[in-house]
Amino acid sequence: MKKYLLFCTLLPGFLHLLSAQSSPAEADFYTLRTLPIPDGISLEVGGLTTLPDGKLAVSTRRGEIWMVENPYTLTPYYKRFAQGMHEVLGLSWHKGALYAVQRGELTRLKDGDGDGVADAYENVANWDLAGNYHEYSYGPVFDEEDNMYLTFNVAWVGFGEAKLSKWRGWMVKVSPNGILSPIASGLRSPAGLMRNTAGALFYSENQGDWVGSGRITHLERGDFAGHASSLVWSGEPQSPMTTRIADIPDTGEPMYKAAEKVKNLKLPAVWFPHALMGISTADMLEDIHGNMGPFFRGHYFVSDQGHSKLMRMTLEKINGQYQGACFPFREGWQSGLLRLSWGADGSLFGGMTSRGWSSTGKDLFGLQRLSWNGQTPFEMANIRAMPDGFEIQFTRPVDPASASKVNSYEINSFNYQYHHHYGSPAIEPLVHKLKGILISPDRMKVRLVMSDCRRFYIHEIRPKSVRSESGEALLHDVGYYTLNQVPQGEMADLSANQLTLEQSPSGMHSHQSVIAVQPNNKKSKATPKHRTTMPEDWVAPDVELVIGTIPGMKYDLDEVLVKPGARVKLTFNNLDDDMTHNLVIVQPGTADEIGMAAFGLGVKGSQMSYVPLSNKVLFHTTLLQPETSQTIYFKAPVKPGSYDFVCTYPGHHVAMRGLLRVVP
Amino acid sequence: MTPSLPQRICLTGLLPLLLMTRLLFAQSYEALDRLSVFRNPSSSWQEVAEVWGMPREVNLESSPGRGVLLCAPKNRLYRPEDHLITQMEHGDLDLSLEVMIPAHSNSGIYLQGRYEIQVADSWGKVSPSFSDAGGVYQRWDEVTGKGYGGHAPRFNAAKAPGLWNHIRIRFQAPRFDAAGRKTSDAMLLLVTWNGLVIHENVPLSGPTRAAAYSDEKPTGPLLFQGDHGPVAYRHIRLTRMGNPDIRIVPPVKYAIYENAITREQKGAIQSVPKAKDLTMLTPVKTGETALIDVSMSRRGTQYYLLTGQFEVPDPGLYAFKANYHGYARVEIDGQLLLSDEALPWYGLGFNEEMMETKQLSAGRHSFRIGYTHRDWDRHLRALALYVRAGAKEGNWQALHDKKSEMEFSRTVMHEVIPGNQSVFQRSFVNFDSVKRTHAINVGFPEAVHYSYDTRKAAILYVWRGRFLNTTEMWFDRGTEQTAEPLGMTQRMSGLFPVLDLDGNPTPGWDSLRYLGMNIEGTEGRKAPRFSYQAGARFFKDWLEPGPNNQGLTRHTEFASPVADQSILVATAKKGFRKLADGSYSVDDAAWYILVPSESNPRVVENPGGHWLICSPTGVHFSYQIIF
Repeated sequence: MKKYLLFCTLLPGFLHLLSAQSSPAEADFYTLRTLPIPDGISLEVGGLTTLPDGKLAVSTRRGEIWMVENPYTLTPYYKRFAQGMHEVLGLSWHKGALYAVQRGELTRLKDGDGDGVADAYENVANWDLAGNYHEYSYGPVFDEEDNMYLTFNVAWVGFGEAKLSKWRGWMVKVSPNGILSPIASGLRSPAGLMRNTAGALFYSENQGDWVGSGRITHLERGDFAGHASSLVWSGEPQSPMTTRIADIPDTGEPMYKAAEKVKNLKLPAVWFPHALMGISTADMLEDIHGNMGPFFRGHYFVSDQGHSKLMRMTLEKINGQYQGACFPFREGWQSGLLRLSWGADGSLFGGMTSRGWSSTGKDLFGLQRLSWNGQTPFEMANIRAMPDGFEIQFTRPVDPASASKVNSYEINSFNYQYHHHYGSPAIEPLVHKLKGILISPDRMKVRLVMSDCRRFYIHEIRPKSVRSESGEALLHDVGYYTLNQVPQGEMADLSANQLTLEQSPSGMHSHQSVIAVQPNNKKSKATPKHRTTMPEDWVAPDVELVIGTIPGMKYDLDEVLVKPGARVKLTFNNLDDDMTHNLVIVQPGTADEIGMAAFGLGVKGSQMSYVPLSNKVLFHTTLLQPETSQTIYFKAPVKPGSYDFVCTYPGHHVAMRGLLRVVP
Repeated sequence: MTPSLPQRICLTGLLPLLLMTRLLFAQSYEALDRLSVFRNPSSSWQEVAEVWGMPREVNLESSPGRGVLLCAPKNRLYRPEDHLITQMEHGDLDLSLEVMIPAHSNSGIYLQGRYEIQVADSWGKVSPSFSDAGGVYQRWDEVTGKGYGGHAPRFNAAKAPGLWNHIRIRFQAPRFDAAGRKTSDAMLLLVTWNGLVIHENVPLSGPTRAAAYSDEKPTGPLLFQGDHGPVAYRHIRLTRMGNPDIRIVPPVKYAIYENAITREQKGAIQSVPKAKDLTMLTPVKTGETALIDVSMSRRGTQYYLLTGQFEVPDPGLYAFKANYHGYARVEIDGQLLLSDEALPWYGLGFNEEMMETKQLSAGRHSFRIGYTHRDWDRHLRALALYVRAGAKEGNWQALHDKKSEMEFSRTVMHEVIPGNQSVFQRSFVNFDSVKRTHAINVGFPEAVHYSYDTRKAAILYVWRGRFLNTTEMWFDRGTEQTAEPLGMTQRMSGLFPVLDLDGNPTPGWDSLRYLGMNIEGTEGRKAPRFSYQAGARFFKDWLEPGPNNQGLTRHTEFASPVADQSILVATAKKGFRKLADGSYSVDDAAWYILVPSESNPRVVENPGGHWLICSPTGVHFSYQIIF
């Protein structure tokens, strides 16, 4: 009997540890269910849509379309509707027909004889391709006149290249009779395209060359979204712009500086800071009905393929321009979350694939369904811009004591470089000081008053110590607001403000307007944990180790052996062509903890090479750019054991690790 | 417009002095094109210029001349003197040849007079056995009177009777110790039939049934069976292995430079990476290897320089071939021989090939190779350099270490298999080194299949056997996105078919618009049919298996009669031969085409080859591709 009780009490703890990857707190409000898929179907989801009768239509990267009946039950039924198409990355149902976007063709499918199998594959429109695998095509999104909007990836030739085929890097419109016309340019990897209820089109972009971080941009005719290569087509007769590649500044200054010179450069509405809010922004879905809670009605859910998670975005129009904030929402999806669709019952279906790109969720593909269980989490529902700061709307009343303390909040702002290089670290970081805090009478809103908000910068709002009036911490304590426009309006009246303003938190101090140095081995400072020159008292190293990388976010060695106290010269070669990595040696069994702690460094992390300040960190390299190397010198621990070495770049620590075994 | 991938195989090198090379050239391959190289050929054999047949005809016809060895054992069978046996004997062997048989005939190629590769009319057979075309014939136990052993070919790659089949055999003779005891079996290292691998590393335990000898020896003659029916052989080329060829004189020196790459930017065009002036740079690493080897190349920012020498035994014309991944240049005796630097950098595929010929004197020659691997495929680095004597024939010999070769990096193979219905799969398809990006592959349970360019209403390939290899589409990201036929393949024209009466492309039809495809046909036999609009005209175009599985029939249905148009049905570099049954043998008996006689078929000469065009009457036009 006693043993049985002991087992019972231990089991939840084990289960908790096993589900450490997905925060258990999220699961308290949002249930994620996995749909079974028949063995033999490679359901690598490329497109997903819900039909009027509640069926799911799923297109795959193998060119198939599967109808999933009863996806809301434990026994969904799969029937193949279509086959043999070329990587269908978009699916839409419109006026009785299914529309699929293949690599080179927009196809309308019909089942004339009603046997559940498509018998007509009509070519609505097709376009040139060069044969480069990266020229993916997405859509279609319909407007009220039955026009269809598609977006086109650039080719990949070591960098993004639009010139191989016409209109790559553009959003195009296809009229109902199949005439294609260009609308907006500057796209790189536009995997998500959405039209909201106001009729505005938004697309999602992935970090890469010209793109410092993932982001979502509102596109209108004539806009240029940033990736210069597509401007090779701007001289074509139908092009709605005359901007040329040579017009685009390539200085590494933030994008807003370039927008001063390039009038049609459209700044993103919402930036999704890289590694913190995903690494490959994908699909967007508007929650018109408040399916995930009435407090989120009108918000948008955004998927991330690389981090296998769902995020939330809010938008407002300031001075006629869309901008807003992004928040974490639900992690732990089984594979790369590429597509989203509302089920007929208000649940949210996610279609997934990770073939070719690693994702946090380790399955090769999958189909899952997210439901809200009706409980209200304590969350920042919204962040709105104010003339002098921000206003946070909470889902439940806040506890005034915690909400009124300056130290309960961390506010940082930063930007990204705009240049042809791949990605960007967070630059020009600034820690903000609060001038005042105003809590609304119903305690659902808190207005943060600041005088140092920076227009065009991304503001990290982290009310980390704010509690609800019932004492709970926030389910997610961070949001990132893109402040392209500052609203006009009345400044806050702080005369009645009772707060004492305390010192700003320790860390970086105000107004570091110097552009941060790129993480670069040559300029790192030596510390006891990080020495790049051989200590003078060594005659020579006892052992020289060389560790490289292989594709799929892995080191090329699973383990290395050294003797206790050995003088080690370790060279880390980041052979990856497009990812930054580091190598951090930690105490045995602490790789997960240090990996998660690196994530928690937030925006500051990139300045610290994502190496947390912890005594569990023994030795480390700095962040290495692709195809660079760094050598560090250290004495191996004296105590025998298996010490993890791990990459602590956010998201990498799960797979990218090995063991430094100290053996006498 | 889609830029086309440039051809990287350049076959024009320095203009060779052909006559002189023939005199100076010590051939390392032998041509068996004359009856005089055989022992007492019987009267059943004769030398002829050309041979042809028809799919159901049991005889072959010929024209007088030389170049083909034809056996026509009229009114007699099973006489051993009708076998053709070479005077020479061979051990290890590399053999290529072409063979043609008429309907129901039978022959065989006996290596060392002992080990038979079957030649037979297996046209259309889905599951071949050892006694079908390409099979290793079984052995025979005299005591029990039973056969045993034998090895079926992987595929039935046999064409229809009356067509030439190309065969390649790499054979390893049995090995014996000093006392004459066999220490290892003979082996078929590789056998290909019409380009398909049908045997690989197949051991041969002993002489097959009806061999000329019942024992095994280090050498033996080649025997071509002539006692079972008509057969023709031509282009018999063999290389007896073990002859010394070009050899690297070790060591090969390598030097690795960092930051040694430069890329030019001319407007929007960026060049292939080139080395900077290496005399100004210090290598970060140097060393020596026994053979050419780039496996130590680490990343695209490194430039890899190899220098060394090789020894040429006999003067003559040699061909060099580089298979590599990345960018490479090869200089011999200070002269540039192979280079991709004139090409645009984009669109390069997975495994590049460059080939060039050079006249070489006997003795030592120097080489200098520069290599850098492609910066975004940094884990793939390969440079394999081969040489062979002669421009077009013979065996390639490796000058590189095996680990410098391209590794087969696909860990999973993907295949599409027709069930009891047709299947189709869109993909990119390589056609003449250009990717057709809007292609579709259609496969049938009858094991005949085709690929088709939907933007051009053009047939690309037809094939028999298994359907489609989609590994390059679905392995990892699928960086090629091409699908390949998994069977015995015949290239088609790849051209849009509608022309004017002179056989020239018709202006009115060039605004071709693909409308889509419908899956149609009788119940249980539905297959794609493609619809087009060109100006005011509409038509439907499709292929399906022909009668008796002899190939595919192409159907084109016009919305209204097209009396003023001609249809291109086939192109052939080597022309067409009209046959007695009204069909044509195409491209020197590579395949057949049967067009309706009322459509006024005729052959038109055009730059680049011969065209067979028809003028259909009515609205429905169909013809058969028989192969």
